[in-house]
Amino acid sequence: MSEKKDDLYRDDLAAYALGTLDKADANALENHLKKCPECRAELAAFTEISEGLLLAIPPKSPPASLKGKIASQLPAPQKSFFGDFFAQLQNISFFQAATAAAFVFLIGMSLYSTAQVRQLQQQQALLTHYMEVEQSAVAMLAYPNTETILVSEGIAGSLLINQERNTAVLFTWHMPPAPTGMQYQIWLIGEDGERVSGGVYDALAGEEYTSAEIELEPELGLASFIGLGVTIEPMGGSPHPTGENVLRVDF
Amino acid sequence: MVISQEELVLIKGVIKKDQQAFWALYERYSAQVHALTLRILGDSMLAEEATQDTFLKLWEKAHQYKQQRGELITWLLTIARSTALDRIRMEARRPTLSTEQDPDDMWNLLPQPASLSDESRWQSLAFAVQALPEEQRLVIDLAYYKGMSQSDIAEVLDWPLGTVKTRVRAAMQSLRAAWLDNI
Repeated sequence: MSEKKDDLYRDDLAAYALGTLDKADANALENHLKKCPECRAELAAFTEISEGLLLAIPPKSPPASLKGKIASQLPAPQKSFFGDFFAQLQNISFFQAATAAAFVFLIGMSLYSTAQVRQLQQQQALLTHYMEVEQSAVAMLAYPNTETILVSEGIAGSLLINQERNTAVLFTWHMPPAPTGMQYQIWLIGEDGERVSGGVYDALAGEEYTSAEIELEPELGLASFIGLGVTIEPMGGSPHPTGENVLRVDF
Repeated sequence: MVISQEELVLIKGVIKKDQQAFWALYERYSAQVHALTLRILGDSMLAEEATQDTFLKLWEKAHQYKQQRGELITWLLTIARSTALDRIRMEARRPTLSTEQDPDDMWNLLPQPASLSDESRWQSLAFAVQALPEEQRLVIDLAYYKGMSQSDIAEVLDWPLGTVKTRVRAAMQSLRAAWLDNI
């Protein structure tokens, strides 16, 4: 390519960068640019100027209404549940908000009352159970050969035991409630050290004493055991002792 | 020129059709886009429509933005220019030969002393355009902001084509010199 022709192309670079070069000249220049790195470099410099011209205008905000026109062309935004909820909150009146708050308060109170009633019913059932156990204990005292054995380790208490009638009631003093989700479990201790469950029971906070009747399969006689222990186990009891040992009674 | 991390997050958000990201870019750039479309079209109603079309193209074609090819605003303004020039061609409007600029606008463009930011360089470029001889400023305006070819300019102004070419070249070399002075 002759030097003169290169110069001619070079003369067109500024117009090309501005986008004002006529179509035929632009096509010819594009072919030349593929082969001429110097012209490409010079074109890059002019392109920087033309891009600068885009930015060399003082900003002028469009009318505020334009935003709404554009928004109407966009798809409806997909809001999250909470986004909708809080957006609705912004639109409701004070009266509506107060009514909603009162409604929520009443529901809360209702739920609280239901929970309270349920708790009282549970306490009532437990006290009824205690009463039955104590009636058994009183009856046992009327029988001959009923023994009273003091708790040898742990929480203070005593065991009423009648081996002929195969019944026993355990009394403990100031026994704290088991942790949430846990119960006390009685274990009868065999001569070989084997533990057999004697039932589970609960203790109420603030009670002076707690009573529990030992539940034993009829074929198992109390006489075959040498003592009992109490551990803290998950609600409903465990097949074998797993928790903290609370007390022990030696027969 | 490097795109900021924040802009990158916003453009990625628009690609994923996040309207919050889209409106963040609108708030950031709508004034520059509108100023450019108004400069090209010289009519506020048409400029508003071109600005609207530009942002709808951003919503639809955000995935076409290539970070390595330049700043997001440059890409957006290129779309705005093209949209506005298409509107001129569509309506076969004779472009308004407005080469005067509001003196207050120019005063606001004054760069801070010793500032070498891109923004101040563009402001300096705006001053360099205004400092061009009248005939050179006119060809830049018609060529770049009205989308006219050199032949069209020659016809409209009744100048020889060679004169138009010479003035385009001279104007761009003056702007380039002013640009390099501010690096």
